[in-house]
Amino acid sequence: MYSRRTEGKAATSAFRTRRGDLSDLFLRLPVTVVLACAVLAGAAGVSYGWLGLKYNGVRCYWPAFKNHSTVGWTDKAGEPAYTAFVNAVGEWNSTATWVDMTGGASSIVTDNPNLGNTGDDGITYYSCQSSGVFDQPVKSDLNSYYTVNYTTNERLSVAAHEIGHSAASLQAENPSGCTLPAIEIEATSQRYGECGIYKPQDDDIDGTNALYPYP
Amino acid sequence: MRRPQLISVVKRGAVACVLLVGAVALGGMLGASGAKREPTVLISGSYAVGYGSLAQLRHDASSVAVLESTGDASTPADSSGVPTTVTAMRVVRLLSGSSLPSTVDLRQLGVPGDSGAPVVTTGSLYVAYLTPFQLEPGVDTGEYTLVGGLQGLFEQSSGTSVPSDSSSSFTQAAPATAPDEPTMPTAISIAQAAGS
Repeated sequence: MYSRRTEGKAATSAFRTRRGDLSDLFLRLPVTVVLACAVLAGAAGVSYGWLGLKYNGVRCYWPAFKNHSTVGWTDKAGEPAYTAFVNAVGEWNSTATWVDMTGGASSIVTDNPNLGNTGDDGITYYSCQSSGVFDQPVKSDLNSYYTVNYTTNERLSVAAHEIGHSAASLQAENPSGCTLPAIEIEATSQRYGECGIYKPQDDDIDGTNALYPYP
Repeated sequence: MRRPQLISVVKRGAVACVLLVGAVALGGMLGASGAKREPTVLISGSYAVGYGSLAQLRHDASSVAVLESTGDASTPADSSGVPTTVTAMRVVRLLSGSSLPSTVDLRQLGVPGDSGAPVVTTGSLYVAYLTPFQLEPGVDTGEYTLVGGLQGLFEQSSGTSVPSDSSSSFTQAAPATAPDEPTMPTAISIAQAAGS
């Protein structure tokens, strides 16, 4: 289980605004945001705030996770990608979030096509309904051109990165070095090659919990 | 935390505050005016290799060139269903590397209108770090693709005439480049792209 830092909780709570009058909300929210930013700027671990900047107001969501239920997941990939996705889903399901994917349904579909040397070793593509709800299915793929020769954990790193997109619309970022560790670091050469990350980190969890408030 | 790191974090925090407060204010205005969010198609990828400099891109490119779209684009259908676009690109000027035919077919993941993985469009010039497209290592297909995906593509900010070699008028097409990555410029000139 992942340890959670105090500053992460403070940041998350800033996004859990009270239900109430909208006009009151828009008056109070900027103040809340400024206070939260002040906390983030002074804290050692700021990648939740960092990652949060990449949401760009476009974050699809699964109603099931908001309702503390499960989202169905189907894998079409053969080995070795299949094991990578099974383990990636397991890693995400074990986090302190409402993310809980079960086999059998096809809300999220994973696969392992050969997309050639297009630069991406993994890709997730999806659309949002105007309400923000994910259209089904969301597709997450490993590009076999690259990943067939990856180590087990390197392949898991890409799969867990893509599941972060498909479960919680987490967006990629490319910080310098490994001071802001996250599975959503966008390049495998950095995420895994330099930082050794192959499962969700605190900042990924905080970003997920901003979408699906937990507990 | 070391002092330079702390300063960097505080700067990022300040920028974050400005952007977030602005976004909240804009959101409030849109909400008040009754504007609705349109459905959005997104592609989010994982780069196999993150490039930190133009020199690294150039090292892995077979050719670096200024290109423009002829407007002839197709979206090849394959069993994977991954959105893909192949665009015929006129070679305006070869900057470095191997010679190119007058027109090359450029393969990209993504489709026009996708905000996550923009593809080339007509009406713009591009600096592209190119490599032969391969489905198997060492076996060229006749098409080209970008080194590092969108990391290897820079779009001219305005106009369709070739700028002077020293004008930093090409900006990186990747929507999520590292704002604190000091070695990879977001705007480059032809001279920088060519390594001269």
